[in-house]
Amino acid sequence: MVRPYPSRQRSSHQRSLARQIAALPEAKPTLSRLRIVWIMLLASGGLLGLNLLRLQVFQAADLVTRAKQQQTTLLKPFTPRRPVVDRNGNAIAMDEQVYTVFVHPRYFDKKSNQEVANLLAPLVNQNSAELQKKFDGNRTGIRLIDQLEENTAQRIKDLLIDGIDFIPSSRRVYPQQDLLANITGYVDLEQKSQGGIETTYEHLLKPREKSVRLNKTGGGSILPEGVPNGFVRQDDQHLQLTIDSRMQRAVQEIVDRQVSTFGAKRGLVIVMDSQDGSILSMVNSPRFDPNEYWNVKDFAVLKNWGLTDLYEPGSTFKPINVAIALEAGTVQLGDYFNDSGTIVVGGWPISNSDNAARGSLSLTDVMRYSSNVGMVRIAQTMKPSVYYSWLERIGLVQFTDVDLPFEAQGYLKPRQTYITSPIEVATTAFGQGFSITPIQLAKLHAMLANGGKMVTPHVVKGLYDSQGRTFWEPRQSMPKQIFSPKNTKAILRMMEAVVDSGTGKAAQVPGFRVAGKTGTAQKAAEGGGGYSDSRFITSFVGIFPVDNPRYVVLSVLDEPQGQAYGGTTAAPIVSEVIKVVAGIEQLPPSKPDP
Amino acid sequence: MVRSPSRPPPRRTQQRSSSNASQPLIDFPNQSMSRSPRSMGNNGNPVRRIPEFVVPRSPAPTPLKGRSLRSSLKAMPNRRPLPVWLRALKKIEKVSIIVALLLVGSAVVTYGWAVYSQQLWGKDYSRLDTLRRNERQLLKGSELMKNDIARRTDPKQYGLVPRSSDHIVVIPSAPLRPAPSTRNLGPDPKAKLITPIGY
Repeated sequence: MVRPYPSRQRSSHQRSLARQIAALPEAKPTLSRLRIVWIMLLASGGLLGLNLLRLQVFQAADLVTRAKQQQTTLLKPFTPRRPVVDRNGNAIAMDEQVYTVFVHPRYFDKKSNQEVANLLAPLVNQNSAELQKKFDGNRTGIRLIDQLEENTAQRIKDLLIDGIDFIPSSRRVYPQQDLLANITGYVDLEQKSQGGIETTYEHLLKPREKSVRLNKTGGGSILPEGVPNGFVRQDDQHLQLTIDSRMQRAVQEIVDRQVSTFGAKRGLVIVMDSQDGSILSMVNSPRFDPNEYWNVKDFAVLKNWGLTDLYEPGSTFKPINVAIALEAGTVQLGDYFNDSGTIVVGGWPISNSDNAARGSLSLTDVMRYSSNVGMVRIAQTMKPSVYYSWLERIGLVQFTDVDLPFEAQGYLKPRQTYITSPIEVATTAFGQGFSITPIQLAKLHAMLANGGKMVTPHVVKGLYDSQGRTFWEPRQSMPKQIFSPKNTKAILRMMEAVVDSGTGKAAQVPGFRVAGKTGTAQKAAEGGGGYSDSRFITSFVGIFPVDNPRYVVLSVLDEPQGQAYGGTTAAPIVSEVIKVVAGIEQLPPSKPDP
Repeated sequence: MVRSPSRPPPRRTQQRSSSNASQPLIDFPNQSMSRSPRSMGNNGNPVRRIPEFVVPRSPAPTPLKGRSLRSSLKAMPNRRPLPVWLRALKKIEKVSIIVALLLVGSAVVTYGWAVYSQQLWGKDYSRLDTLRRNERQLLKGSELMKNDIARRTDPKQYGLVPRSSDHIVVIPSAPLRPAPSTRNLGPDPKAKLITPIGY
């Protein structure tokens, strides 16, 4: 309640003011006045209504989206592609988060372009003067750097500069560089797998992208309300290979050295455990670095030619033929064959590689001297149709089902050709006239090593978590028994003779009994028709230890220079590789047969 | 309260005074009534304060000199027990007050926790993010280093060689010794037969 002024304090001025007000004519409510007020009220009400209509109806959709943009945020945690580790748990491939950085100088606010340029220059390894020029030239949307590492990005974020955008993305890192490129393949910048297990095991490696739209506070912090259960959880599963990267590294050194020694176009070594078909090592030379796949000049190195390229295996196929003949029952272990030096089949003369004629040869000697004539005679003991059926049975024209992509299928001429033209059987007897992949040959020899069972070569052991729990393992069907263990054991003894005193002496390893077979095949002449005289593929396949056969080592050299034979170029590689394998697998020295 | 003009105040006062006389003002003490006696007691001269229209029907109260009205009008204990429904209502009231207080308290706590926990979540989430990043970087760093060492340094320089069959040390198993004869060994006479007591 306002207390009235004490009358004593009232000034004369106030009194006169009061008098003036009293003298004013009294405002009288007139109808027009009422109307004006009424119209004003109505009009403002109408305007408010119109505005409401505008906001709620015409601009509603736009406003809703804008509000959503401001109030919600898309939380998309970085879900890396699952890592790949080798047999011993060394990381082979893993994901990291990288950023593409955009700069918008118009939002720099308190900092000048020069200041920002000076701050950023050392972090992105660019000249600060050039950076400043960039900033001065453009107000927004300057692509500063691609594939910036997380650490550096965090350091830039810590500078608290306005107007810098970080667009996250994933990058696959292969810490071992080119060591396992032929097995892993690579993942390109668009996150597409290119070859190797990255392609075959895409379904196990690729994470399910998770994202959730969440509300955020005015301060920008996220409100976790509505986060689905298990959203934050990331599994720690990894794909484990059967490859031993230590062995791979040691073998790689050997292959590289021998490829350059013999001036070969390319080289290859496959080490396989014949018990289950797991590949311990698979080395190509030359190789590529999957971290910088764009630097590859010759695209041929991108493929794993151990399984993509067909070649004629040559004499390395002879032990398989002997096994077929023994299994077919047309040849007995004690049989002898006449090696006349040359044999004419269907009008085509076939002779031994050294043109020697050794007369009567046992099965062991046929192998020891790699006698083509002897092999032709062995193959001729079988009916062509029976022989062809056996070639089909051992899976020559099938895929090996190795878990790597782009495998080539073996090539064999049609059955009718084999039955009608005897030269086909004769050439197949010493490994020509058909083509298979190196991995196929390793698989065939694994049969000899494991007692006749056909195993599936593979490079992946399974999917495990950090506790070692199994989440997935390749389902291995019961291997088919193709050859009898008695025959494979006998053939290994024959192959041992090859290394002991035959064409494969260079593959000997002190302390270990090694069975092996050399192979020197002419390459098909360029332009088709016949074979080249100067271009060879030399190979050697070794199986050891003979007393307890387990490992198959195949080495192939493409076009070694000079007078190259499997026994002189590929066999020494196998000898060195066997030493490494024996050391890493800690094999005791071999014992003689009882 | 609006006094209706049809009811003249005198009647009201009469009623009041009559009730005052008949009942000892215990059950439902009316404030206006209790106030007026108190003011009377304080003043010591009650008659002057009573408006003229108040005409006491009964003879004027006994002189109150020397003692206050309050001490003279003692509240008598109500021996009649309250009805069951009333007691039940009173109990419900008490309980519901406690429940309401608890609910309000828990609502405040829950709200606070909801806000706080969200903050905590945000903080922990960013921490988890950092830890994951560190883990990735540590793993990458160690593998890169491993590769770098294996690739760059010449192992032979440090006396290191790749493990090979040359480095396997095999200790041949000792020849079998004839097993000591066990045929004529009867039970040891010195050995006590242990009989477990518990069985």
